[in-house]
Formats: sequence, C-alpha cells, structure tokens
Amino acid sequence: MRNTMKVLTAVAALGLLAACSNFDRLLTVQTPSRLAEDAYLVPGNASLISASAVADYECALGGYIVASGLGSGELVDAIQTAARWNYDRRNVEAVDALYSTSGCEGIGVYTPINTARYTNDQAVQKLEEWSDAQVPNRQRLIAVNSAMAGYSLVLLGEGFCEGVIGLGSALTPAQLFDSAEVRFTKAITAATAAGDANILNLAYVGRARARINRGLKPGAAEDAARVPVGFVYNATADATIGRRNNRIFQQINQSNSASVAPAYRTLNDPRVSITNLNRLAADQVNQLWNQNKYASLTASYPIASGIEAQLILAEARGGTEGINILNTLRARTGVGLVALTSQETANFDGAVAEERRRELFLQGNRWFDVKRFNLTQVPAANIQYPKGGTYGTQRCWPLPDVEKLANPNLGG
Amino acid sequence: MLHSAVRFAAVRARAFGVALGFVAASLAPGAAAHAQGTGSVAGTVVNEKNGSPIGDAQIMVEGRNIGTTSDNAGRFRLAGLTGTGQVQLTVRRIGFQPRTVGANIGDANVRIALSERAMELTSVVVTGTAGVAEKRAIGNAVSTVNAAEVVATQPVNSFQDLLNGRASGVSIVASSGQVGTGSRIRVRGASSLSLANDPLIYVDGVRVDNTQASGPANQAFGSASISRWNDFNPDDIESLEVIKGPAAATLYGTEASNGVIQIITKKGAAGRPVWNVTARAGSSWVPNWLNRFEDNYGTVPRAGSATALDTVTISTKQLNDSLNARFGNDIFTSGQLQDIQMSVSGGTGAVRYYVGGGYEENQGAERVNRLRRTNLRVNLQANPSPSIDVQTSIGYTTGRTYLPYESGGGGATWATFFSSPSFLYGGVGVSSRNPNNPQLGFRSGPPNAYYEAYDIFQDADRFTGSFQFTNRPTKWLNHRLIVGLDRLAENNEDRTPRNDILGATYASFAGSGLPTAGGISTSTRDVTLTSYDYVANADFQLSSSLKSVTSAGGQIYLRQTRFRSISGSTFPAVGLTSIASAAIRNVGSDELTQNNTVGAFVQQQFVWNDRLFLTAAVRTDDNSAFGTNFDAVTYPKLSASWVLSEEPSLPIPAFINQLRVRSAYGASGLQPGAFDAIRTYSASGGFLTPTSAGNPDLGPERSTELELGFDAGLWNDKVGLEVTYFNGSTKDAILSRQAPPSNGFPGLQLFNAGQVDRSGLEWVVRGTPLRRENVSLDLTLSGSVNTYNIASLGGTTDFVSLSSNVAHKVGYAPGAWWDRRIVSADYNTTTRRATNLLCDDGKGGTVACASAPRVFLGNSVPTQEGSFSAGLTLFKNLRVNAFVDWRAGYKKLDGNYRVRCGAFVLCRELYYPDEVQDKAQLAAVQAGTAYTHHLIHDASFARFRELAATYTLPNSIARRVGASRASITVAGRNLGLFTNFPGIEPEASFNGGTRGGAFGQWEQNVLPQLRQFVTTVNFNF
Repeated sequence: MRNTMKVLTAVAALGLLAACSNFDRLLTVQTPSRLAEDAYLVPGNASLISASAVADYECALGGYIVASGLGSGELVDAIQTAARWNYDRRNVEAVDALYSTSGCEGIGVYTPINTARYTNDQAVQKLEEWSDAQVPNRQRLIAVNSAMAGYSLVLLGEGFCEGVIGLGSALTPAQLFDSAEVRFTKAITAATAAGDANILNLAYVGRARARINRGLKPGAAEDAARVPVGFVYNATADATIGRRNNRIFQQINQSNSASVAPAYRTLNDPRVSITNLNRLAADQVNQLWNQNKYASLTASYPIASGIEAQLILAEARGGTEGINILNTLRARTGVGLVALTSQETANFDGAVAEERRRELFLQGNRWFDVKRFNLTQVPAANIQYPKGGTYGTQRCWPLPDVEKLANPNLGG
Repeated sequence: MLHSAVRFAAVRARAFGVALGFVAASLAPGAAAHAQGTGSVAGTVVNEKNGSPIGDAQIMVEGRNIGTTSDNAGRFRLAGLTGTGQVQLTVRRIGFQPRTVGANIGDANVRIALSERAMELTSVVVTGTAGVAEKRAIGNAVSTVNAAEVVATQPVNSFQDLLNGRASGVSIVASSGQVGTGSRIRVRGASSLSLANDPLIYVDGVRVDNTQASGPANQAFGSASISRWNDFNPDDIESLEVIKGPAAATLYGTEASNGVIQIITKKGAAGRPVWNVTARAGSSWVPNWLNRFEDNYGTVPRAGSATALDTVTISTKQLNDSLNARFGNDIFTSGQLQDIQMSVSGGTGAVRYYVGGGYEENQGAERVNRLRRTNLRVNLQANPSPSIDVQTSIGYTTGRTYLPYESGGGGATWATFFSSPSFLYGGVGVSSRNPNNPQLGFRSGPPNAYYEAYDIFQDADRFTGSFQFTNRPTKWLNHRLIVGLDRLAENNEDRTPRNDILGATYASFAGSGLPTAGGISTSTRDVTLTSYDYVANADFQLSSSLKSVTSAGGQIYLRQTRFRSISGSTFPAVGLTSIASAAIRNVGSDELTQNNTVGAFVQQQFVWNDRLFLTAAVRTDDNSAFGTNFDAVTYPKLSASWVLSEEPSLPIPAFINQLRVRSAYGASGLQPGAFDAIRTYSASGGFLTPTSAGNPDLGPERSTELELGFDAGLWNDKVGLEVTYFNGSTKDAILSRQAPPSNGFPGLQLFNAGQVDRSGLEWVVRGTPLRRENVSLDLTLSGSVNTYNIASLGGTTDFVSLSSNVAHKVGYAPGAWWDRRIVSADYNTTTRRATNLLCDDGKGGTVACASAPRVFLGNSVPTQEGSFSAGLTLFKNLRVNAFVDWRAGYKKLDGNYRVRCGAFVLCRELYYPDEVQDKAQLAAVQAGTAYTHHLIHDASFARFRELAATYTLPNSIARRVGASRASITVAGRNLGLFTNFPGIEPEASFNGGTRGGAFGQWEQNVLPQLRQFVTTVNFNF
C-alpha cells in the first residue's frame, strides 16, 4: 500500500510539473466564433473582406430605413414599450442608447453606419496595399467598397446633424457629403478600370446624391444623367440569419413592430403598395398596415437605382425638363400614372419631394428630404404623441454622447 | 496540559484528518466494542441552544485513558470501564464551552448539553494552503456561517437565503419574489468600475461557476433572474466561510478581489449509520397584494357627450373582481412548497461517508412560476494508510424552473401595475364607453392570457465533484492535490405556442396567432470548469518557541463556456413548439469562450509560542485574457495575528478571557473577459463583421487592502466581539466604455484607467445575556459600513457615463446616480402645466434645464448592511429564533412610477396637477421620461426576515417512531418591512442587463418578495 501511495504521489507531482511546464499551451485558448484581426486581414481573404464590408452596409441601410422611416413619418412605432418612441416622436436625445449603440438588427443607426464606413474604408486600404497578383479582380473590389464607404457617409450626413470619421473632429453634413464624394470618385475610377458598368452606375448615383445633398446641382445632374433608368443595385437578404434579414419586412410584416403611417395609407399609388391588417397593434394605439414593397425576409432592397438618378436629374435640371422627367417616371410601365397637374408642378420642389416620397418609399431617403426640402413634419410638431409626450421638431439626429465621451478629438 | 493536548488533537484531526482516523479507529463505538472491560456509558451530546446533536465531540473519562467521539447523531459509547459507581466525563468540541459531567457506569442514556462559545479562535477555516488553519493563525477576518444549524431551524429556501445577513460585509441585493430567482451578492461593496463584482465560490476546495444571472431573459433588457449560486442545496452544506477583500484572498489570485465564499459540504463521522429525514411543507404569497399597488387613472368618453371626457380610476380590487368573474381565479395565488431531504452518514475510522438526496417542488405566487429540483450528494473520506487521506465530494442537481415574464417583459405584474381604465372600454383613444374590452382593464391582457401565451423555463443539470489526495510522507511535510470539475448544462426556452384564438382576442398577443403563429427562442449554456490545485506545507520547529511553516503551491483553472441560441416562428399547427416545426428559423449565436489561469504561490509563516503568527506570501498568475503586451502579474501578502490574552506578561483585565489583534495586507486581482484584449471579427451569414475592438495593453485590475481588527472573548466567552477595519484601493481599474463608434468597432472597450479607494468597518457581537436551567437567550448583532470613492478615471476625464442616469465621477462612489435635477418651476393655471423649469447647476445655483449638467443624486450600492438575531431556548426543547436584516445608504430608481407617469399617463398627478404642491416634482412628471431625479429614492430598509419556533419532541415520543430525535419547526419568512422607499418593494430590481448588473438598481414591474410559512419535521434515526 505504501509503495502504491508513493507511486501515486510521484505521478501526481509529475503530472502537475508536466502541466506547469507548458504554461503557454495552457494559456492558449480557442476562439472558434471570432477571428483575430491579423488572421483575417490577409490577401487570401480579399473577396471575403470586400463582401463582408458590403454586408455591413446592407445591414446598416436596413436599420436606417426603418429608423428614419419612423422619424420621417413613413412608419409609426407599433410596440407596447417605449424603446422607440424617441424615433417616432422626433426627440432623440444624445444620451439615448438605441440610436447610438444598438446594432442594425435592433434598428440602431450611428454604430452600424460607422462600422460600415470603417470596414469599407479598411477594405479599400488593404486592397490598395495588395497587388493584382495577390487579389483577383482587385480594382472591382476597390470600386465596390469605395462606393459603399461613400454611401455610408451619405447616410451619416443625411441622418445626423453632425458626424465623425475615424476618431476625427465633428463634421457637418456638407463635409460628410464631400468625404463621400471623394470615395465615389475613387469608385468611379476603379470601376472604370475594372470595366464594371454596374458598380460604375452605383458610384454615379451615389456621387449625384452627395452632390444634390450639397446643392451642387450641375455636378449632380452630370452624374445622374449617366445612369440608365432601369439600373438598380440591390442589397441582398437572407431569412435564416437575423442580421441578414430584409429589415423592413422583418420589422413591419413579420414582427409587427412598425406600421405604415397614416399619411401613406390612402395614397392609392402603385408605388406605395400597402395592406390593412384590420387589426390593432400591440401598442393598442395604431392600426397595423403592412408594406408590400418587400415581399419576404429574403427580398432584396435597393441601395441605388436609375429611378433615384432620374429624380436627382429632375431636381437638378428643374423647369420643364425636370417636370418631363417626373412625368416620364409616372407614366412608365407598371406604374401608369397620369402626368402631374400644373397645380402640382407650380411648386416644383414640392412636386419633386412628393414624387420622391412615393418613388423612394421605404428606401431611406425621406428623413433627409424632410430636412433639405424643409417640409412640414407629419404628424405636426408639438401635438400630442398618442403614447405620451408631444412630437418634436427634430430633422436630424444629434451626434451621440457615446462618440463625444469616447473620442479624444471631441474631448472624450 | 491535558486540555491543550486534547484541543491540539482535535485541531490536528480537522486539519489533516489523520488524527481523526487514529482516534476514530481506536475510539469509535465499533472499535471500542472489542476493548476489554466490564462496563460502559452511552449517551448523546447535544447543543444546549436547540437540542440538535453534536457530532465529532471528544468525550474523555477523567483519570482513565478512555475516550471516544460522538457520531453525527451526537451519540457516543464508552466501553471498557472497570468497576462501578460514577465517572467524570469531560466533553470538548470546537466552538463550545467544555463541560464535565458525572455518569454512572452502566448508564445508557446520558444527555450532555454543550453551550456555544461566543468567541472561538481555535476553530479552523480554509485558507488556500494545504489543509485548514485555526482562525487564530491568520491575520484576516473570516466570517463563518454554521449552515447546518441555520437550515435545521430557519426558513431557508436557497443558498442565498442562507447567506443573507449572516456574514458581515456581505450584501445580498435581491431581484424578484418569483420562485427560483436569485440575487446579486457583494462582498464589501463594489470596487470594480466595469468588471463583475461577483465573489468567487469554492465547493469543498473546487472553484465553481459563480454566474449570478442566467436563464431566459424573463425580465427583458438583457436581465435573466436565475442565480447559479442557488444550485447548491442548503441541506447538504455544513458551513460557509466568507473571505473578504484582497488582503484575505491573495492566495486565490486573479479573480479573487471581490472575495471568496467557501462552501463546505457535510461529511460522514465514524460510527454507526445516522439517518436524517427532513420534510418541509409551506405556503407563500404576495403580502397585501389587493391593496398594495397604486390605483391608475385614465379618461373615458362622458355619457351623452361627443367630446367631454371623464377621469376615472381602476384599482387592483376591481381588476381582480373582473378576473374572477371572467376566469374564476385571482391575479395572484398562494404557492405551495414541498421538500423532502434524506441523508445517511457514518463509517469507520478508515472509511466515512455522507450520502444525501432530496426532491423539492416550490410554487410561486404566479400560477406558472414553479420549480422542481432533485439533488444528490455523495461524500467519501478514506484513510488507506496513516499518512494518506483520500476524499471525494460529489454533488449533482437537476431541475426545471418555470418563470413568468416580468420587468420589461410584461407579465401578470405588468398587466396589473400598469392597468388602465381605458382597457375596460374600447382602448386608448377609442371613443367608447362600452365595457367590452377583453383585457378587463389589464394592460396588454389579463394574467391568464400571459400564462396561456408563454411557456418560459430553464432546465439545469449540474455536477460538481472533487477528488482530494492528502499525504504526510514525513512528520514535517504534508501536501495535497485537489482535482475538481464543475459541469453545468443549461437549456433555456421561451416558447410562444401557436394560439389563434388568443392572437385574435388580444392585440398584444397577436404573435400567438396568424401570421406569426407562435415562436420559440431557445439557448443552451454549457460551462466546464476544471481545476487542479496542488499545495505543500513544511513545518519546522526552529526552537522550543519558534516554528516555521512554509507553503508552496500551484493552481490551474480551465474554464470553458459554450453558448448557442436559435429561434423560430410560425408553427403550422397548434401543439407544435419545436424549432424543427417552425416555418422560419434563425440561427442566433454559437459562442465558445475559454479562459484559463495558471498561478503559483509561496508562503512563509513563523509561529512564536503558538500565539504570534507572522505570514508573508507572494502569488503569481498568468491568464489567457491578459493583453498580448501584458505579462503575468504578481500579488504580495503580509499578515500578523497575536493572541494577546495568552501573553503572560501582558496585564489583560480579567473579564477579557480571549483577545487577539490581527492585521493583513495583500493584493489580488480581477481579470478581464476572454475577448477583451484582442481585436476580433465574428461571422454572420457567411460574412465577417467587427465584434470587439480589443486592447492589447489590457491587464488585470489590481486591488490592495490593509485590514486591521481584533477578536475578543469576554466574561468566559459569554460575549464575543469581532471588529475589522479595512482600507484599500483598486488600481489599474478596468474601465469599460463604449468604443467610439466612428472608429469602426461596436460594443465596449476596456482599458486600465482608474483608481477606486475604499474603506469600511465590520463587526459581529455575540452574547448570551441569559443562561438558566430552563431558559437561555442568545443575541447576535452583525453589520458593516463601507465608503467607496473614485480617485481617478485615468487622467483625461473625471466623468464616465454608464447610462443616462448612472455614471462614474471622480470624488464619488462608482456607479452612482447622476442626472439633471429640477429645483423649481412655475405653474400655468390655464394650461395646468409646469413652466420655466430651472435645474440644479451643480454649483449651488440654478440654470435652465435644457442646458443643465447631471448632478449627484446618490449611491446605487448599499453602504451599510447588517442583521440582528435573537434565539430563546425554553425548557431545553423549545427554541425560538428571530432574524432581522437591513441594508442602507443607497438609492434606487422607482421604475413603476416612471412607467405609470412618464410612459403610460396613469398617475393621479397628471390628471389633477393643481393638487401637486411641489411644482418641480410636477414638472418632472409632466416631462414624461426626460427626467429621473424624482424617481431616485433612499431605498434603505430593515426586514423582519425570519421567525422560527422549533420544538424537540421528548425522546419517548421520538422513540415510538424509531427515531433517536425528532423535532418540528414552524417558521415564517419576510414577515415585516420597515422602509421609507416609496416604491412597491425595496428588494425588487433587475438582476442584470442594462438596468441591473453592477450598478443602478432599478425596480420596474418586479414581483415583491413573498411572505412564506413553512413547517418542517426532522427525524434522526
């Protein structure tokens, strides 16, 4: 027995010694669901890096369409708790967590848009460091990620009163649109080199949008005119991964968390197709109205289109040419609406804004249109919000406190 | 001399087990039966206080070399006594006053009652070195809870009930009154700015999972309410030891700065088998629920008018009447408790065993809230040779807990607290006075709708086992190895069965019907914690008065957590609720987290005349989560303990029979999470996205502390006093703040930034002011106060916001309440609204609220806690225990008021603003959810927690059922509450998530603590 115990003691001591002699191995852990940055950012992953950055933008756009839809009056919040009231009531505060730090699945906006800007800029930077030999279709990838970085900055400038790029100082929307234009120009150069007309059009629509947002109408018209009316560049979606869902369908039709707003329920316009569910929402205030523009969780949704280019072109050119463009869009196959009346076109900007609200319904454009066309807010400011408080006057979201407090260039 | 020799033997027996082996082998009843002799004495050793048996007591026959130990039933038998007449028996047991009684040879039923010492320095505690140490030898305070005694007499339903109020410096922050939910536990407050402030738990020397919030997020806002601490069955626990603060926890290394709680489970004692059967039955309910919740206000159209509105109210009683008329049941019910536990222990000197098991069903005050749990424990000790002890400790528990929604998740409390007269009629904004609303006035729907719509539960299986091998190859060396495994499998399910009728009836339950047609969200969390702990002690007698004890050891802790979640919706038919049958399925997450620690320590102790103990130690740890630019970390420790009362040269007043002064200085740490150091991306749908910004320079927090104290036994240990002062700081405090989103990475980023200073005082006073033949009274008062102060937040800032009203600010306690505060407002009698709001400018003046700064509103973590217990024993067989505990010095947010006024326009102030005298208060109420200062109130409270009466049946009655002892206990829990907190319940809060966790207690729609009455019967066979 004594010998047995001596052996046991020795084995225990040796085992411990053996274990302790290789601390590094003990301290090496697996992270199968996460990839360290240095293992990820290698030329062999170039296509994945590029596509992943695009997916970041697609998700950011989905969340932005819903959040900005609540603010702009396209949608109303339909859930029974107060989490999204500030979007709906147009009084988002800088301390609010939802708009500033939530992910795109939770219809956050500031963080997903910044992530998309970062990953697309990072993809471009890496692609430019690597060679054509290392990365097939390198120019094409540079083009698409430059464009997506540009669109990210467009959303940042359109949605927020101020924005920041990469720990920089606060930038005005105009400065953000200028930064977007730089990226779209790079995309145009790369897409031209790659001979990819689709991405070229994506970049032209983006630059036209950045320019019209700045009031640079000739430049906007020049780019918009290059894009064929039938062009569309879609975001892709997937049903099984929450982050990849068509967020508009998921929020409105699947979870009934939002409903099409009253101002869109009686338009009788094929461009704003909706369905009355004849049912009270969970908030017990709003009726549920579904949108029909996106038919499923997997439905693609446009990032840019020839229709939008035509609307920009119409706005930039104005006058008779502008009205003709709008009427042509109304008369196109599948829409078949009569031409605008002279009364409608008397206020040209109003007509453009109205056509945009219908053509670009639930595409993430209305929030900034309300601001830049200085449209009357619907519901009106200061009237009672049915679930408590009153509607605010907000036309852009404030720069969140989380950025101000953590960014050293903003005093953080 | 003999006394000290016996005491030494007892201590050694506990310390190493071998002495027990010898003593038991030679003196245990079984062995003694073989001794030569003609007579014997047999009997029972019991606790004078409550008549409970005392095992492991040493019984010696004066003047003869004969002795034995009592078994777990307190029984002993002394054989081999020659002659006739009377002998004197001296009985000793650590923790009790020694007692000598006379007994006649041949007596078979001697009853020896021992009285507890109010101060006991020779009791032994776990220290992190090999074996155990006497309290007198260590320089820091260790709080010990005699769990077996508490559980035997008090209404304790869980591990956290057992700990609550019984160890000074330990604060239990309760969350919900739902059965199966847990609390957050803080030892000496919360000193970490961003990391968990949860203490470590060890079970029989093995580190185990200490998650304090798990399960389905039934409270929403990310808050789950089940605590893994309650997996440990109180009936299996012999004692708890709480090691507080870094000075005491140095040997436990990184992760230990929040303290360590040791659970020591029951062991067998040599002797014939002792059976113990305990059965409990009880009932629990929400006290005074019909009148406890505020009436809610609303408007309905005035009869005969197209525009005018009437303001009407709805009360809980009205709601309940409506519910009864429609469904035939009340909102809340009385839940039933049934619990049966059985154990057997015994053995020989060479092998001893404790085997226990039980089954519990406990139902809450909400019909769907219930749990069932089965637990097993097998503890074996063996001495295969005089120099070797082997011990295994195996525990297994399995069960299911059903939880209803509450807090942000809705549920019966939501429906009741936030009811509205509008929901009796057509609904909000619907012009109707026809009371046809199926909601019956409840928000969202009546409780029955919730119970029908959701099925939320957690299955938990947990195995905790250890193997301990102790060897003494020489007189001067002993060493031991513990290999431990803690394995947890959680399955959390949140089911919404398809129910088309429910979906069509209630708007809030539309998801039950088409088109969503129900759904399921399920997740699994599997934790494996493996630990290896090797320590060696070497004792050298350097001179007749000086001894050296050198200890060295190493530990490896390997922790792996796998979390997987998946959800689905749209069931094709009623009755199907599996993921596979859902038409739409979503993969949630699949996360594997590994976190490993490797550490070692060396400790040197010098002992002078067994009364002065000087200890120095150093510990080094490396951890897989430390940043890539950060090496291992080293923690020092120094301590001294001096038993002054044993110094012959010191003039100690006679009434002080024991006096010890002690001090300890030490450091320990707290490690960051597994992914905090590295910048990572995660995959979703075939694409990668930034996940964690990482910080390659990240190291552990480092806490140092100086502890000073004394222990005194007064008037022959009738009064005991333990006082401890501590002062320390946490340096390199890890600060979590939102990574600036413009830098691309979402979520939080940690960095070593701050310093938090702390100090406090803890005390325990025990006494027996009355001790007579048929009546005795013992009292215990324990408590603590602490002060926390942020000294630095890294130099670049003095304010870090955690949420819109919780922040860290230099000069204040961590995680305190900070928000704008309205100090005055005018009142427009026409619009009936507060106007011209002026806020505190933080400098003694006022400023327009639109540009006002956030000002300090109060601490969010209790700074004082304590308890008072009184035990009265009458006629040796009736014991009455009363227990009151309190928490103070902190504020809590009344989220119920926020929701009623700010969100749902239900409170009277909004309908009758003229009545509100304080227009600043009115301004805050009328501003919706913009302000919170008016919701944050002092939440100090004292609770009459327990009252229990235990009657020990006469032996003649016990023997009729074949028992050696039988008792019956009637006990009540949560019998009274004393507080100025204006909310529903000071002990209600989110257990975690964005409104709970470390700081910022927030009560919103949480079930109050239940009142409970339990009857317990206990038999020893």
